Amino acid sequence: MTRSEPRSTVVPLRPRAADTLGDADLVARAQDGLVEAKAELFRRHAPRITSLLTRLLGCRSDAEDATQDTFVLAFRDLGDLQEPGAFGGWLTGIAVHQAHRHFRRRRLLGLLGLDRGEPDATLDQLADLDAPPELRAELALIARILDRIPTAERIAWMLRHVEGYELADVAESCGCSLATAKRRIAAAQTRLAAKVHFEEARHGSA
Amino acid sequence: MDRHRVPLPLKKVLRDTSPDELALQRMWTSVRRRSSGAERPRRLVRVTVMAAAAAVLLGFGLGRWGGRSSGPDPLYLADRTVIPVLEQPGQAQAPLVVQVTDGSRISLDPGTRLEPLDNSGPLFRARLRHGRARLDVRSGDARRWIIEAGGVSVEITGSKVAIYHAERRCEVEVYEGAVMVRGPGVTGGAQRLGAGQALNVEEAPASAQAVPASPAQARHTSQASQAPQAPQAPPPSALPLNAPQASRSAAPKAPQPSRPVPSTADSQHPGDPPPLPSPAPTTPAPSAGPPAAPAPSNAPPSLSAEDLIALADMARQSGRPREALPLLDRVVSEHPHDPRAALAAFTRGRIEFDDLAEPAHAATSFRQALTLAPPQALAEDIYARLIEALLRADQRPAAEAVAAEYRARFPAGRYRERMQQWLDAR
Repeated sequence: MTRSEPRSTVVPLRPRAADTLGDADLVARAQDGLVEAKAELFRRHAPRITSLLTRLLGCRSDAEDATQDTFVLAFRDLGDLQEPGAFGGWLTGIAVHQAHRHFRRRRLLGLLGLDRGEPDATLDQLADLDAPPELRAELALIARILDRIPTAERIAWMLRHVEGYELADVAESCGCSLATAKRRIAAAQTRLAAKVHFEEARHGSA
Repeated sequence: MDRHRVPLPLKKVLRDTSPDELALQRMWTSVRRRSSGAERPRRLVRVTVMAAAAAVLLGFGLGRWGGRSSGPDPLYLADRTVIPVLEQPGQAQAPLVVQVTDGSRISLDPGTRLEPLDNSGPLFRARLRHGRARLDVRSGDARRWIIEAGGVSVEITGSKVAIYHAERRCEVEVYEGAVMVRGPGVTGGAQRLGAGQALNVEEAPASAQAVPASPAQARHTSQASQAPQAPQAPPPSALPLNAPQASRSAAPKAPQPSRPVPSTADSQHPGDPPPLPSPAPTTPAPSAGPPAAPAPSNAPPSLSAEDLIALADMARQSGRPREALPLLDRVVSEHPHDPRAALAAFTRGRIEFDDLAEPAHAATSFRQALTLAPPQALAEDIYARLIEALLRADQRPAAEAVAAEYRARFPAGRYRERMQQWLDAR
C-alpha cells in the first residue's frame, strides 16, 4: 500500500459565510427556503443527533434512518419553530420522538416475527476500547434490562444517565412534564439499581 | 463478589459514535431529496404512507405466516427449478437465454459455461468458466450478483453487463448501471465501471484501465488498429464501448443445433445492448490475428475525486476498509485542490483509527487533513479525532499541544469540554 507523505504546507482556512452565522440566523434563512442554510444546520447538528440516536436505538442503520427522518420533519415544520435560537433542543425532541417510533416499529415487527435487525451499537458494544471486561459486562447487563422496560422509561433514563441531560432537558426532549420525566427515570432506575451498582451521579438525583 | 461500579453518565465510558463524513454526505443527500418533495399536501402523504405501510406489513405478515422467508428468495428458473450449470456448446448457433424468477436474464453466447456457486437469496454468485455471458440484472439492492471470471470478481449492482472470459483474459462491458471489478490484475485492486465503459484484465500480473467511451478514443483505437505493427498479445487496457473491437476476431461458427437446456431464445431482445462480435478464440490464428490495440499503460486511470471517494465508500461498505486507503490517498495526491481532499484524508484517518486500530497512522492522516483547508465544521472534527488518536498512540504531549491549538483556533469550539475530559481521563 502506498502512503502519501503528509503535506507540509499549511493552507489558511477559508471560512464560509455560513460558518459565522448562529443557529437563529440559519433557521431564519432556512425558513426562507435557502438550501445552503439547511445544509449548514444539518452539518452542525447531524453528528450529535446521529450519536444520540445510535445510543438510544442500539443500531447504527436504524440511527441513520431516524436521523434522516428527524431532519426531514424538522425542515418541513421549520415554520412552526417559534424561537429559532432553540433549534437544537427542538431538533432533539423530534429525534426522541423518532426513537419512540422506531421502538414501536420494532415491537410490531417483533410481534410478526420479522425483526431481523441485529443490534450493533448496544452499550457494551460501544464501550471505550480501554474499558475493563467487568465494565463491559455491567454495560451488557444494563442493555439487557433496558430492553425489558417500557420505552418511555428507557428513553428518559438514557437521556438522563447515558447522555447526562439535565432533568428539564429530559422533560423537554420527551415532551412531558418535569414530574413525569422524574417519575419515568426513577422507575427505570429502580429496575436497574437492583442489579447494577452505579457510582454517585454528579448531575444530581433522579 | 465485589461488583464493578458503573460511572454516570455512561457516555463517559462510551466511544464516540458520530457518523463519518461519507455517512453524513449520504444522509444529507437523502434528506435534501426528501425535503424537496415534502411540499405535497401532508395529509395525503400521511394517508398514503400509512396505507402503504399497512399493506407492506400485512404482506410481510402473510408471507411470514405462509412460511416464506422475509429476505429475497433464491433464484430459480422460470419453471421454479433450481438453476443448474448453464452451458451453451461452441457449435450452437444461438445464445442460450435463461430467465430467472426475479426478472433478470442471463444470456450465454455459444462456447460459454456458467456455474452457480452460491444462490442463497441475498447473494447469487457464479463462475464464468469460459465464453461470454450477458447479464440483465434486475434484483435491485436486495440481492448481490457476483460473477467470478478467472482472477476477476465482478459485482453487479443492477446493470446490463457483458463478461467475457478466455484462458488468460477477462473483459467486462457495462451498458447500464455500474459494476465493481476486483482482482489482482485490476489497477488499484478494484475499479468501478459505469455505463459505456469496458475493462480488459490480463490474468498475468498486469494492470487494467477503464476509459469512458469517447469518439476521440474510438478514433484513436481505430487508427491504431490500422497502423502496421508487430503482432503482440492484446494489452490489458480498456476499450471504449462501441469502438472498433480490435482485439476480437469474428471466428466463424459451425452450424449445429442448440442444446435443449432450460430455455433458448433469440439473442436480441428489446433494450439489449448492441450486438457484440463473437468471442475471440483463446489463441487467434496468425493469419486472422487482430491488429494490436494501443500500447498498454500501467498508469492508474484518471478518476475524479468524487469517483475515488465513491469507490472508497464502496470498499468500506463491502467490509474491505484497507482497500479504501489507496483510493483516498489518490484523492489527496491527484486532486490536492479539490474541496474533498481534506475529507479524503480525514476519512483515511477514521478508517485507520476505527477499522484498523492504527492510531499512529490515523494521527498522521488527521494532521494531513488539517493542511488541506477543511471547512470549519470539519476542521473541528479533525482536531477532535487527532487528539483522540494521539492519546490512543500514547503521544500525550502532542495531544496536549494540539488541544491548545484547537482552543486558540476555536475559542467556543464544540469539542472543548470533551477534549479536556479525554486529557483528564488519561
